[in-house]
Amino acid sequence: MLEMKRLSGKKAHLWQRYSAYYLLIFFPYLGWQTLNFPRYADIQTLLQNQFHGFFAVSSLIAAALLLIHLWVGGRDILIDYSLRSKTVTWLNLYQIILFLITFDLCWVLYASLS
Amino acid sequence: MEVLISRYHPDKDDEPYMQTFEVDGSQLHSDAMLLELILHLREIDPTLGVRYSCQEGVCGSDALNVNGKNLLSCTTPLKSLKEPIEIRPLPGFPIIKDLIVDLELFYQQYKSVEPFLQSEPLDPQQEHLQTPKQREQLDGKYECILCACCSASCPSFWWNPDLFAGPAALLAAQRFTIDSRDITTIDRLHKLDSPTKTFRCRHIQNCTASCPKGLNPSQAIQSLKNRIVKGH
Repeated sequence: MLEMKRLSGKKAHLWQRYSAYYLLIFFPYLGWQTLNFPRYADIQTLLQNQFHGFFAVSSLIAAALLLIHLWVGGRDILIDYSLRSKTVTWLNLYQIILFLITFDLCWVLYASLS
Repeated sequence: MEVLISRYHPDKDDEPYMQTFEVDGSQLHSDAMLLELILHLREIDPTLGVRYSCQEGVCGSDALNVNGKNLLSCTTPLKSLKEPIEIRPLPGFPIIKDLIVDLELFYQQYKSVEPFLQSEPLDPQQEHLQTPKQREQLDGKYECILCACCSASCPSFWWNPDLFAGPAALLAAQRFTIDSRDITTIDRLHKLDSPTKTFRCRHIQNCTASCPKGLNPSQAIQSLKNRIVKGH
């Protein structure tokens, strides 16, 4: 279980910054890739293209950093706006949701590539 | 002149309400400050609760929310305000009576950053010298009068006044972490490294906009964050 006192300040700040820098470069690249793709391409083809060869590494890093960015941003919003008595519960719930999203992404990726 | 003042008596009222006063402007000086108007209103209604002391922008006790902006009533020219003038207590703090708020949490946060020099050995008989450049670094950091205009305009402080140190306390924290005579910089930065203590600041800069002394707490907090990240 997550506890308020175990949440980091400096580390979270750094991860949020570094992930933002990376995603700032990655998303325009992703947009450019998608624009250059045929209109009839389905999501499976797009994923296969994105996770092929050299681009697989950059896409995997982007997915991981996006989840980290989501965690820090969502965590801050919950600390700000949720009721104090419920903050830890919401944070734990949010953590579980992110784990489920990670699992789901892995499954989609596996299904697309296999 | 139409003046609306927030009134609240804890024994009589369930919640604050606005009371309208009509004031003859000719009874005040042409260069009168807002505090003079409030004191004039208190002569009309002696039950009006208001806090003030030095009346020249030094003590910081007469901070109020006027027409939606936090300011010191003793240094705000009356003619600079649009009518009707809406006067409320500082937002985000419990109201004691009318325009007087309880600043206990604000002072606790200030105390929590240990706003005093920690130098070893601390010998009162001996001066702790600084170069002019080292002294210059403290400009804009030590002039805070603790009026609470900044913290009362900060949403992060409204949401978590018991966790987030707030702009005034963090400005003081920055002042002592950059002081060349202080030897506890690393400890200070370590204590401030928390998602609720320092990193709750989102730099919307309301604090800087509302500071009646023209200080820049937002920039000080940014410098503080940079120093926490660097670790020195």
